[in-house]
Amino acid sequence: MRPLPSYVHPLIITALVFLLIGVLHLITFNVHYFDPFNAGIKDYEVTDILFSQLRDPDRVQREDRIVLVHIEDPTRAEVARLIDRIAARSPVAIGVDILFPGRRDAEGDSLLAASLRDRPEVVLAANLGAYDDARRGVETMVVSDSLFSREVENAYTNFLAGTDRTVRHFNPFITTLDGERRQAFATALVRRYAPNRVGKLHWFRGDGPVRINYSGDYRNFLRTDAATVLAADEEALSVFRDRIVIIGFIDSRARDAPIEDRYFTPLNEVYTGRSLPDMYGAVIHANIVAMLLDGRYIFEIPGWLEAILEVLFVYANVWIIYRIYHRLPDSFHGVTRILQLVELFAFFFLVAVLFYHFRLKIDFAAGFLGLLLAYDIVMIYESFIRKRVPLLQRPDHV
Amino acid sequence: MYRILLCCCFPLLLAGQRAEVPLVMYAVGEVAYDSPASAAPIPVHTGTYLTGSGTLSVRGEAVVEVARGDQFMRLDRPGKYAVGELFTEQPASAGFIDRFLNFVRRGLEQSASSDNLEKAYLENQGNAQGNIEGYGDGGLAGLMPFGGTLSPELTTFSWPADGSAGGYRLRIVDSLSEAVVLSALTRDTTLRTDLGGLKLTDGQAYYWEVFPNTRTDAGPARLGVRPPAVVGTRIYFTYREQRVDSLLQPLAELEVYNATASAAQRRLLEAMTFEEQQYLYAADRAYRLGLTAEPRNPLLVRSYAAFLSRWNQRSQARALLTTLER
Repeated sequence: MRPLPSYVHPLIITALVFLLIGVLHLITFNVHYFDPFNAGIKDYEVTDILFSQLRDPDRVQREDRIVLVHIEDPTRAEVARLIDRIAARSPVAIGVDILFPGRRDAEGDSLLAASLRDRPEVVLAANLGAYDDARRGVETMVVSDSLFSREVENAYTNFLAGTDRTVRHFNPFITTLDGERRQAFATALVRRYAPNRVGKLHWFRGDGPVRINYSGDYRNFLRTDAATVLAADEEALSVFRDRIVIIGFIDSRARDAPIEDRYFTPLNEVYTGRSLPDMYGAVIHANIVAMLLDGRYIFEIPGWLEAILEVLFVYANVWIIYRIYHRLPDSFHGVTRILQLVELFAFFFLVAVLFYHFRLKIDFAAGFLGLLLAYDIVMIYESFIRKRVPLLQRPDHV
Repeated sequence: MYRILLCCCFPLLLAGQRAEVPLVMYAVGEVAYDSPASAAPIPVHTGTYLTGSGTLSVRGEAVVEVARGDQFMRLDRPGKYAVGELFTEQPASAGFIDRFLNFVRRGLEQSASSDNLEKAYLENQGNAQGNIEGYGDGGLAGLMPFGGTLSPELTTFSWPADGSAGGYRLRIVDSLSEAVVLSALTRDTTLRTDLGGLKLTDGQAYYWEVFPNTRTDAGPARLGVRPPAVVGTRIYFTYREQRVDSLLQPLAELEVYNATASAAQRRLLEAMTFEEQQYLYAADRAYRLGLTAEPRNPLLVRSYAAFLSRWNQRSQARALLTTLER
């Protein structure tokens, strides 16, 4: 009887490993008993650990091209005065992360409308409308009242995540179902400061989502308060010259700090399970602006290449474990477990280094899971499957 | 030619290091910078570069945050700060490898603690009481109050001496907002204060900590970093408006309490009642009062030792038990 080639058994075991991973995936993600578990798993990525745990939270990446202006419950008249004061110092762009729906008091409305008139540097916040499942797209963009929105550029502030999910991506551009091409708040701000950066972004990345490379929390950015700006002398306002200004709710240390427009980010210290949202929308926009200005993107290897690497990784491990099973039957358990631990540690370190130093994100979750399952599947294959399939009982090269 | 010029200028470009000049990231209130280069102090605003080795003056309620390179400093206490010294006092940042190994170590420790009952107990006790360091005796020995609930009454804070010549600075801090409720200087290792006069919020968590007062300006607070402490520990406690006397009312209705003639027995019952309600400082005081009345009462000594042991004061508990053996 001709022996089977040595790669056949590891190949079958590898196929079984991925079959089991697929079955586990189907079961866990489609059975509602697992919903709480799934919610945590779906909203978790290995790189969250790198952002939240391997970054030194006491250190900052000083960003001096962006000024954040903190404002709480402003009246429209206050916003108008604020914009006037800031605009007088010639900033490159002023992003107002506040939506002004409808008209309220005539005086405040007219002051704000007058303030926004002939201000091409101002970008007003807008919201993307609801997603239409049937037409597979976003219907339109909800902007501030026409009294304000008609004079300035409106850009959407939405992220590719709800308030209950971690904000990892943003869409720099979206074409809504009404045929209009819209741009994100951060994109619109960067277009005013460095239009070539937006051009490059579109050239290399198209309209697809972009992973946000967070540089840090609000401490990274120059910031001031609206009250300070309104009361400040001319010298103090010079900080706005030639900079990008973002007006919005930036930070609060108060216990009752508003939860509105506050999101989970990968910087959250609690990277799995329950925690509190850690960053306000305006600071996320500032992070995106900084990333776009520097072209400091996170690189991701294509899904197909990731899949090939995972299959090769699991196959190689199955091949080794299969050989250990036959050649070192007495110490199979111990040797295999040590091998798994060392490999997990080494690969996690490799993933961390690649992400930390080269901004290269590799999602090797299926490979890691395959490595963990390989041990059991080898045993199941040898003791259960192989004995029942005559073709597989032929001697091999082991 | 221009390439040669560029090569000559390259080292200069490296030496520029604009990020090394401290930059004011946030300033509110009255902040001034007294630089050798300027005749008079200049007002400091967001975006001001602090060139030279001058002195930053923070007055009243002013707050200023300064970044140099990747270092960050928040100054929210009045005083004069030499900018040159602000960042040199900061500990060096741990490298990536160190942080990675620390992360793995923490993970392994957590896994191990679920198998190690004593360690898991200590860690859980730490969480339950708010002593989150989980060091057990190592971090809490000699500290009083050591957690639990405190009420509006005269409270004596005490800590072990470390030979600090300049005395100590004790701080009581709101654990959520990091607002300093009390900052006091003392030469002793105890400080007695009326918590009722501190306007603490009912049900709110606070912590107290103590530092050696080696510098006259007490040093700046660095956001997110624990300053060097005598004992290296923050003691968390919950403040309740409810006075400890009111906790004893149900006890006073019990026959066993009223019938006993022994003062030590009464204090023991009181201490147990206090501990049940998490009023650990009051419980400790009740035990001590009981021991004052009957120092050799074995039941009281053993109960007190068990109490101390439960609350991570094992050295003290051990010392107490040895008094019984003598």
